[in-house]
Amino acid sequence: MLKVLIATDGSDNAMRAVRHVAALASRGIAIEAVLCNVQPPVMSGEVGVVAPIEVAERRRTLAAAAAFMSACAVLEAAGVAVHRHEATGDAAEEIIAAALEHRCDSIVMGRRGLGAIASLVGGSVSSQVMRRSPLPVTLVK
Amino acid sequence: MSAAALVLLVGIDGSEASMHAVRHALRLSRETRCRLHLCHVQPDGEPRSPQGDVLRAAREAVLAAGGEAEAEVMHGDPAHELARHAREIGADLILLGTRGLNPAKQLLLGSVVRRTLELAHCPVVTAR
Repeated sequence: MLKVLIATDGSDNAMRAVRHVAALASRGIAIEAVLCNVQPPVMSGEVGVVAPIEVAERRRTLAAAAAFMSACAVLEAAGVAVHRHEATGDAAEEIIAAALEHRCDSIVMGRRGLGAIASLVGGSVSSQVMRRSPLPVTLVK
Repeated sequence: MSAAALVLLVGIDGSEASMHAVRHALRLSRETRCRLHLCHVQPDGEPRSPQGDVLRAAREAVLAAGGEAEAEVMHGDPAHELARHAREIGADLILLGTRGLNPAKQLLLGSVVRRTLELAHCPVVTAR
């Protein structure tokens, strides 16, 4: 049984990673997936008279639920057992920590086609994970 | 399930990171039937590396784990050759080490890794 962590934010990018894992499962690999969604910490600007912290947190929960739903459907249809992991904080750090905590074999992420400048700046979560993860990282275009 | 074997192309540069890529390929081949291709690209204009040795160590690791692998040496631009070869053999995955041997070329992300990502037709697995 292969255990992979898939970083998901509900984007098309993340769905490509999900479909890659589903495709591996349909090739005969028994896979267990941890769907990991990381939300940035609630900033003071989001909280106030109009948006108390509970509102901001609720918004997070809803965003995470939406991100999980479509990914779950694709994976379960391919026979992949799915676990959920939600975290708040720095995306790259939380993704790596979750993969280690769940004893995953690897991390799977979608990757936008970044231009030379964007990848040199190194700001993308996928390149940070790739640089820092002790586990192998699969990048799906 | 009798699906076609998964075709894995592992880029070998003799670094410890590329041996981690080999180990991940072996991990995958414990789960399903895989065809392993170990490939070393000798960059143009660089002093010749001991290609035979670089590939031999990787191949021995595969044999020791009870696997089989094709070993190939190519010449040219590593990212370009890896992506081209991956297409040629119908690779499902390209596996690479993120830290090559040449630190001067390792800007934020290894330049070979970054360019392979751009050129590859399939997902790329990086190990370090």
